[in-house]
Amino acid sequence: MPQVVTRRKSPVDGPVMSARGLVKTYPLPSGEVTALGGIDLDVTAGEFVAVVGRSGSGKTTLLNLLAGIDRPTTGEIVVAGTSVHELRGSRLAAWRGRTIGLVFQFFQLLPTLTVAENVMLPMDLCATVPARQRRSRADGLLEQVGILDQAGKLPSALSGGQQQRAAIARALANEPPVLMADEPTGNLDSATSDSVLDLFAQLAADGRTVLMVTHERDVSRHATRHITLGDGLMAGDTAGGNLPEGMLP
Amino acid sequence: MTALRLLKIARDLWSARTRIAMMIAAIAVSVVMVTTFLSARAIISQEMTRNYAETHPASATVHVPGGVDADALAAVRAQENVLDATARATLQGRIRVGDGPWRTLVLFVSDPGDPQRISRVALQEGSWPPPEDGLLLERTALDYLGVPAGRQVIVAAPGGTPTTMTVTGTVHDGGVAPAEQEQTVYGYATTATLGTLGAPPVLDQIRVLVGDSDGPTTDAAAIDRTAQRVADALAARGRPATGIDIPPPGRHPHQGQMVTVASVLLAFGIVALLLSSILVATMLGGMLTAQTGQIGAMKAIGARTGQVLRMYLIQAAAISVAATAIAVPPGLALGPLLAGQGAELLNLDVAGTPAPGGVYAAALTAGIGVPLLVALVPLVRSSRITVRQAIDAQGTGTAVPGGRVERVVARLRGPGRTQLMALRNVFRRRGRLVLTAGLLAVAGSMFLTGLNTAGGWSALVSRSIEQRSYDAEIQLDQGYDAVRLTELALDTPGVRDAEAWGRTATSVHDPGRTDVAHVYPDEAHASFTVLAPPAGTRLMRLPLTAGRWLRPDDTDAVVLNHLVPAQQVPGITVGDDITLTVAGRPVTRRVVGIVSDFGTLGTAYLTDRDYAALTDVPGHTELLRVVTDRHDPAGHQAVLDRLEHTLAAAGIGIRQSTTIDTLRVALDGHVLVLADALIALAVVLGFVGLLSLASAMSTSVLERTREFGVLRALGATTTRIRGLVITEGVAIAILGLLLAAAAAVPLTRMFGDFLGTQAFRHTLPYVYSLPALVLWTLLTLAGAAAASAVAARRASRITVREALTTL
Repeated sequence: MPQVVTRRKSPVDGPVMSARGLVKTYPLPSGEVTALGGIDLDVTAGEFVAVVGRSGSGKTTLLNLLAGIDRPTTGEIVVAGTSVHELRGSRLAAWRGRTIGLVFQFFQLLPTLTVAENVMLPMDLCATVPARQRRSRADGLLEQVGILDQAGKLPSALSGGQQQRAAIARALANEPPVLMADEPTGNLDSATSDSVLDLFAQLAADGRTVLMVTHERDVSRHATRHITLGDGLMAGDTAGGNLPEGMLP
Repeated sequence: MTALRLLKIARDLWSARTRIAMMIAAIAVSVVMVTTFLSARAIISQEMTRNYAETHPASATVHVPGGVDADALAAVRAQENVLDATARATLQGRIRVGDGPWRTLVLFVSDPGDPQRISRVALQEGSWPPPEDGLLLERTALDYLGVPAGRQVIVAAPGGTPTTMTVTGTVHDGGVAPAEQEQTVYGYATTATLGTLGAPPVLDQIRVLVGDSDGPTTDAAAIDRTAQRVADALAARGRPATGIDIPPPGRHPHQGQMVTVASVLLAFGIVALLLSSILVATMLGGMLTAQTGQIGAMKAIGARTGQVLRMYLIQAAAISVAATAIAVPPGLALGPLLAGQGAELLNLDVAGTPAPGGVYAAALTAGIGVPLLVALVPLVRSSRITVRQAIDAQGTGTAVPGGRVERVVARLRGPGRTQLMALRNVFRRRGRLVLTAGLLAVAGSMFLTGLNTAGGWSALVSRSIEQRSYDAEIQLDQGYDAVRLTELALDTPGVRDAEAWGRTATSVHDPGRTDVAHVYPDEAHASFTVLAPPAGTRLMRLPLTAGRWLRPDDTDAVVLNHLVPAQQVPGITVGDDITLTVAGRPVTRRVVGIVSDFGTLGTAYLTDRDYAALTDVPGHTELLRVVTDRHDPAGHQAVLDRLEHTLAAAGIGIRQSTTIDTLRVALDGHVLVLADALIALAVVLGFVGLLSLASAMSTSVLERTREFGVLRALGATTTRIRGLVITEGVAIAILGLLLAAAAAVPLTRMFGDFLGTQAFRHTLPYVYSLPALVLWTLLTLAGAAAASAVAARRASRITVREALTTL
């Protein structure tokens, strides 16, 4: 019997994610390029945040910094009570595995593992769930995202939407308080995009924090908050399901 | 390691099974080589030592003209550290079957009642002692002579009348090389047989076994001290010794060559294994590069570097374990076969001894440890990649670096757009290019070096023969008038030119001591001779390595051949004095030159004028060298037979007679095994090199799946993509070929110097084999085209969708 995924409560009081004075620069042969010029940000549990902006505005850089994928040049990041900018190597990997669920545009499922095995992999790597319970938990997550019937198939046998759902199930495997998605619908048709975004909204409604980077105008209406970036700076931060006209990416 | 991760490893291996099979094949081929050579080397080393030890070789042989009586022998046995002693004789004669060619005969003689505790042989057929008109032959002599046991042969002692004798049986003598290789027949008989041959039945050698309560010693200094005491004791009894032979203790006469061959084989095997390991590391690196996205994804969901590294280490271990499991059994099976071949060349009995345990351990270490160790570099590098780096690497490949080479390549014009793009691609991944071209260069240079060295051996033999302008030589039983000898020779039909040379055995004289020579009982290996050619000799011209050749009026000068500084007087050089015993008296001469003289024994050259003054009968010589009017082995032999007849009719006794062809066969017999082994190894290394190119191309295509997808999306045809990949492969091959051709120049020289010096104390002539270069060029280009074609086929089948969804 698939295990039911329970609503998750934030493990800390106050913001789940907090960034202060976040700056990221890249040295290039032509000179230093500033991707983020000083971002301050607080995100609380249950928020579905859409980070929008034009290409090169710093959206993905912000997500990478918050997820510990990249390191800020200056500034501080605290996620779920942990100072991410202070973590290194294996501790950072272990923290990310338990705290952040990541979803990518191209799904990034491991091609030689079945869908269920892909979902079990984070539990295996982080040893968060006893080995005997992993399969039932994976099935529960796959049922939650609506593709339990695809559990035994390899990713290549699934449609794009199904693969993205599998990726979301995998992101939820260790029951992380934060879900981050980088252009999760960039490779999906509009109907599938809608269903994936509905899923994110549902997860946020269940108390999980969702941060999604996107440049698609339509997808942002599912979010509860919109952060707009422009040239590496915060250009807008609005609450609500629709992006104001002037804030269109 | 959890089951899930093991499952991923297994499926990853299966999904890349073609490349994995190539890796396993590459390692397996090398591990078979290494295991075979390790095993053969171990078996033959222990068998060589065992075979030689079983002959109970004498530690020293003391020469006592006139022989010794039982009391003197008892006195020798009573000397401190003398474990045993016996009286023997060695007769250098000739043997033939019917009217066949005369062959050199070394007849080992002992008393019929000799207990055969020293220098003993294993009886294989017949019985000991043979009758007085019979002799036993070393087993390899039967094929060489073409006579079975029980048949009659004609034997001639020096100066004696040819006598018909019966081959009454065979023995195995683990201390002598096969007859064919040495062009010498080894026989075993008693003093009674000496009488039958007309030779004095005197045992003029005391074979001494030196040691202590632990058994025979291998301490050369201790043997020397004891042998000198024995000589002193014999002198005190009125039996002065004229010399002592002390062969290298415990070492078979061919041990040096054997160790060199085995070491060279093993070295080539290890190079092949290293090449294979680098190849595997490259392929694994390529696979990991292709899996960068997966590594990034795993790290994004919580995988730590150590976890990722362990997963890929297990993959690498699975490959090397599989290769080793496949390779070790055939390697262990082939080892004894190769050892058997070597044993046949060395006249050894291999007792079916398995390879020692150390060989198993070494083979497993080499097969599993070396590839894993080499693969560790790309594994660690790939495992440490960050999520960010993995994401960045998801593009269409590495950008062209802006280096000087790239700028030059970017300016290239001329060939078609596909070729131009391929050329630029070659320099795009500089590290991969260096590795692939480097691997090909190493394999190619070893291939060329192997064949060049094989060519060097042949050239050495040919040059040695060319330096000798004579077609046949006859050693006489004593000195005869040089003028008369020359006239007799020139009067013989078929003889075009003739020279009479002085020739006598010699040894290095150390005042106050009996002369010691480091010669084996066959009196050939490591022996020392004085030769005195007539002034202005036309029949031999040896290249000088130092100093000058003799002048006709030199009376205090000596020219040594290269073996003397290597064997007889280590380190002696031009300007030094050397004291030799010539015709029984010490003679000190100044070394004026050193000549390169491959194919003979340690030799000191004196002028005929000097030699005449030193010998008892001036003008008498012991060696006749002739040029015939025939140019084929049969013709040489026919003229030699006529000359022998002429000399015999003139009452001149013959000790040995050989044609130049006999020398060539003997020299070839010594070097061909090396040359053949090098050629075989070169072929294997060439195979590994081409496999590396194939794998590099396959990996390159795998890494650039997206790039090919993009090309497809831009409208590139199948032909164009295939052309691109094949051009890249051929360009890398040409680069590797050029590097190999250049690297082979110093490698051939270094290898020839090492191998020649180790095996025969003579550097090999430098030969750069053009056929080898052409062969390797053809192999490389054809192999590159074929290997790239397989990769090109895969590249041309990549669809746009596949390219964009590949993780």
